[in-house]
Amino acid sequence: MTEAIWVRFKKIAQRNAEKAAIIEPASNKKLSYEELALRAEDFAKYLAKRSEETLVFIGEPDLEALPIVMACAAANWCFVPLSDREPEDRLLKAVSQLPGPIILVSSGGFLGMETINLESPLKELGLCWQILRTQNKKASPLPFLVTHSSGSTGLPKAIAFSQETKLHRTLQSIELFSVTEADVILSPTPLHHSLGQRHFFISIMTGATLVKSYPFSPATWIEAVTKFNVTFAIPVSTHLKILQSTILKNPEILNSFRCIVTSSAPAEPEFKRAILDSAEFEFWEIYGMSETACATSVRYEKGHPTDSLGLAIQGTKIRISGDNPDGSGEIEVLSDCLCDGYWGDPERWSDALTEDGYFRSGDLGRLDDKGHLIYLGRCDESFTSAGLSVFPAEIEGIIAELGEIIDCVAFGIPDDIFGNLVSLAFIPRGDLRDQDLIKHARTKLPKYMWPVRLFRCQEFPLLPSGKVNRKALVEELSGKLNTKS
Amino acid sequence: MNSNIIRDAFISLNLNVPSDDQVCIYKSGLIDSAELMQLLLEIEMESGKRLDLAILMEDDISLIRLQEILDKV
Repeated sequence: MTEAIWVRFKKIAQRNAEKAAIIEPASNKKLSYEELALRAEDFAKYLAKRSEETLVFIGEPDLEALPIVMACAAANWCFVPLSDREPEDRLLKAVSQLPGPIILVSSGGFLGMETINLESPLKELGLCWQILRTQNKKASPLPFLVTHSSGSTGLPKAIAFSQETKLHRTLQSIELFSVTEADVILSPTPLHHSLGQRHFFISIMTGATLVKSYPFSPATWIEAVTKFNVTFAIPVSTHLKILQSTILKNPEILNSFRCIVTSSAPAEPEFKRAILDSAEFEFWEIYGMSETACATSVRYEKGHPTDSLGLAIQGTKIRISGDNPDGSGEIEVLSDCLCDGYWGDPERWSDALTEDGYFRSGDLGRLDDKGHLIYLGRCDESFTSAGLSVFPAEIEGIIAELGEIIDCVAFGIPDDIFGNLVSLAFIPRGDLRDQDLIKHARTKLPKYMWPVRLFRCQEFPLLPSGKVNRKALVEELSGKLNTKS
Repeated sequence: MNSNIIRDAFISLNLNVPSDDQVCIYKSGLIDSAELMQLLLEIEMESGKRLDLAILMEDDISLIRLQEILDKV
């Protein structure tokens, strides 16, 4: 394993010693680059004395514990952040599949696991340090970072990155969005999420300042933006949607921004237009996934279409698999920023790639005549109704054009006669009537996509990442329908 | 009352109200499956009742039968 991340960080820390590397609004504390580097080196000395080489951190590291990430880089250890919002059984199952032995760090510890007493300064962090001796042999080469996929689309996957790969991907984002030392970057996303990691590494690999304001709430987000004059952020589109009404009423909230990039789940064109019209900053959207980094990007311009996710970025190729007459199919990505596979699961990684090395995204899309990517939803979200393919993202995009819609999710409810009934869950703003919503759908959508079951909701269940938990929502609403009929 | 709701549903969808209230509106080709589903949705939205699609599709869907089913819900 190279020391790419650590070597670059050391140079940046020397150049920006006094500058705030990380600010934590919740505790009103900050860490300078010099402090971050010194603590990381200090922690690394203690890690280097041990033989485990893998550190699993459960929960969100606070400002005091964040140097552990860089200590792992300095000591050539592997850092694995995991959410503490997962059920304990599921967490331990994910951990037990990792090559071991492992040091497990959490706030409260786990019953029946050997606890270790570390010397200062690690002891002073007030965390519980335990050892998990898994049956799996140490994997070679040892990655620097392992990110688990959200699990919304199946079993979580342990996505591995060497320091070299992580740095290469980070530099891709830095160059794409022209991030500099002058930027103040806001992250409301947890470190176990690849977006939280992206914020962290973009920031400390440029010498910018990271404002770490997790968990997300509209009030804390807005407060952090105005208090610290935030210039750059990559919010998930769900967070932006939650903020939308406030932003549209008070667009000056975004005055300090130089650049906002929406990511994680493609946003509806109407929503993007509204954000774009609200303030003066670069507004980008990127498409990609943890395995591939950014695959396409687009910088939206006022008055221009906002319905595509742009062109493949440098070092990346995209294509659509299959031979559907309408040009739709699974999006496949060839990238020089590809991750280093699924740790400890080479078979699953091999299945994720085509014979010629393209990553199968699991997303549906098509390319327009200029090669711009149009997103149509997840492959497993599309369904057939009366024999025709229905893409939820297309329905959602049209419904979201209505100003009275806060959010919406289209899905199929299995039906013996039609295969599926096109259904729509929506969160209305104000007095939107079902009749007006359906009238709009009939005007704008082909008839086989017209929703026939409407569900008016107050809120949608969310995943820890901030994305809508579609699976839970569909299960809940399908259950309601069955109970009623 | 329910007969008015059914007729209004046709009008909302810009469909002609069938002159024969015993003919199957689906099999006769008067409306296609997508329009049928929207017709039922219109009736549901106006009446506040949920129609059972499976029962409806067991037999001809005429105006008379639609009204009978709606009366029973």
